[in-house]
Amino acid sequence: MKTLLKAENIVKNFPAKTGFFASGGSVIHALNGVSFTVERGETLGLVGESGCGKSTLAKIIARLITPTDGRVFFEGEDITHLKQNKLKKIRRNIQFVFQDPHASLNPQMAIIKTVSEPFIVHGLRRAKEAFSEAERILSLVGIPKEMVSRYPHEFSTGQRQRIAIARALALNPKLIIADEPIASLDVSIQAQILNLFKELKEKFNLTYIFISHDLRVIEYISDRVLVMYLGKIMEVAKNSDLYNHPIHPYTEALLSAIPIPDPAAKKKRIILKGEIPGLTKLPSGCVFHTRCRYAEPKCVEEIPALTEINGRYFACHFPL
Amino acid sequence: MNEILLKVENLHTSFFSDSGEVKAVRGVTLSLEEGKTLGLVGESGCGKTVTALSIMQLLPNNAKISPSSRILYKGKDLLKLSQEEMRLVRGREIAMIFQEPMTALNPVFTIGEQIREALELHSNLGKKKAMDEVVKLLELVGISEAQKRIKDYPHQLSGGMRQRVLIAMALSLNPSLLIADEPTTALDVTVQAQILELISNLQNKNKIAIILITHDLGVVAERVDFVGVMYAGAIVEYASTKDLFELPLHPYTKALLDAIPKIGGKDKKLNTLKGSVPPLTQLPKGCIFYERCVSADSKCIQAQPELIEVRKGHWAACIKI
Repeated sequence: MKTLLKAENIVKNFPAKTGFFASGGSVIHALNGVSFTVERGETLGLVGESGCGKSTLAKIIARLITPTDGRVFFEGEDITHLKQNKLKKIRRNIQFVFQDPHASLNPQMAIIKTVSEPFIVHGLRRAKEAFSEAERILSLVGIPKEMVSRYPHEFSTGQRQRIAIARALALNPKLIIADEPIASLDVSIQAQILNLFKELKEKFNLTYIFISHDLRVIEYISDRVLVMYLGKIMEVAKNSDLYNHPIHPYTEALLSAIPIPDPAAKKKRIILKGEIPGLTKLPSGCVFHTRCRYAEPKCVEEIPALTEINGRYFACHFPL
Repeated sequence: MNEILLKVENLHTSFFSDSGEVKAVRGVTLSLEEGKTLGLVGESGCGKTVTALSIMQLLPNNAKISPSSRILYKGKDLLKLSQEEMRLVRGREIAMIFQEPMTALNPVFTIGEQIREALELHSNLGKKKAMDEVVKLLELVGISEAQKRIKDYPHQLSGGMRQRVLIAMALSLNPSLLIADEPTTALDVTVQAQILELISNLQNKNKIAIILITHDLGVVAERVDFVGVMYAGAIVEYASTKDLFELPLHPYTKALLDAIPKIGGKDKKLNTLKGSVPPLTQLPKGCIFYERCVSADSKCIQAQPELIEVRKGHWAACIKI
């Protein structure tokens, strides 16, 4: 397997303006040194609670925003500071599926136009060809030919997400980043869309970065999983390793918090104490120490580095 | 056997708009014993929330509850009460918490003020005494430094904290029934675990009956005694939690259970339901689940299936069982 994307020590700060007259001062530390790779043909699951930086990270990789520090390599090329005109090529290869298909589809455009637009923007096909190609892709995601000249509001949420996926697929990208693509869907529709992602991956040998807060979904879709907390990576592991034996206490707590749809399942639930700290004032040492049940004085003082043992990465002084 | 606290009989709630009548709740019947938890589960638009709002009579003006419906609470029909009488029931007898704690709180008052207001309206505690009570309540729901926190505004609190405040407010008048409408849907998993644990503890302590509305079957399995599965405005299956998960009867319940990814089930393809929920304006003559059902045949389109007791205490509305 070859590395498709590499992120090196990504840092992203946002200025925290709280009022009309606020000037400078505090800073939101959204990402605090994140490094990882995405291999060709794999699905990398990104999981964590709100505010952990998963969406910010996705936007940086897709070059929708630039990082404060750190570098992003796509197929070996440093894309961190590419100029607008050179970015077009990258955009063709990295596509995005967003959480809310109501907001990500243009309500004034018939969906066939939305899906054929990428071809025209990139100058790949003429309008007529682009339309027939868009039709083909839409039928691939389960939108029949008769419906392609309708507008987004005429579709259900699940169908709209299919259309958003079709648009992402249109240019045959090398990487698709899906940011909570099923979070706004009902359970039965979620399953349809998850299966669609899986089918398309097999068919076109796609590479995904799949973001979700739902560990059940991540387990179902991912090959490798990256667990984030407060803008840092806590643990990276192969799917089965992570779920069978979490190394980081945060992963352990996350896994134990999943409600299991089986009343007979007896399980030990770890209730984390306290709340997720704010991103303006990160805890010292290990960012998780304020809620960790194993925390010791060392965790308050020293930042644990992301360490590798037997192919598993974790940032913890006292791994489980 | 505990006493029956709430009995809803044949509840029909419709919304009237320019495009006609939307039958949001169609003949829901359920009962709840003191101190027990009933889960209402189903997808968006299935009528779970409208059922709850009908019980509370907090429906918007264009909604109408059919005159043949009955909502018996401690033997009294809530639908026959005057507005004034109903106001005394809300809060004191039946309280409700909502999905989005930010919109349920008033952004321009401190949380202390908001909880005190509820207390003062319904009891004759003085201002000072009421505030002491508020601090006690906030401590009860696990808010640290409650004395200081009462001066906070909602935007200063995290989502989990806000939900704790709403729970404190709901419990302030010692209700016998708490309706929790997707109380943890807007929260992160680890916070969800905290809040669900809190609700369970308070329920045991105060012997409150709970109606828990959720779309998450995992939450249902862990937290409720009885489950009503709703689809397109009607209850399609009703059973004890144990029975429902051990032997689901209705094809919709089965499909829902098969549609959730399970830890360790990575290699199994998820079963999906084809299509989506039909509009509630034009109802078919037969079973409303017909179009999406895997076991449907021509008999299913002839008449709407009734909810029948298939096994002891286990009800389902499907003629194929």
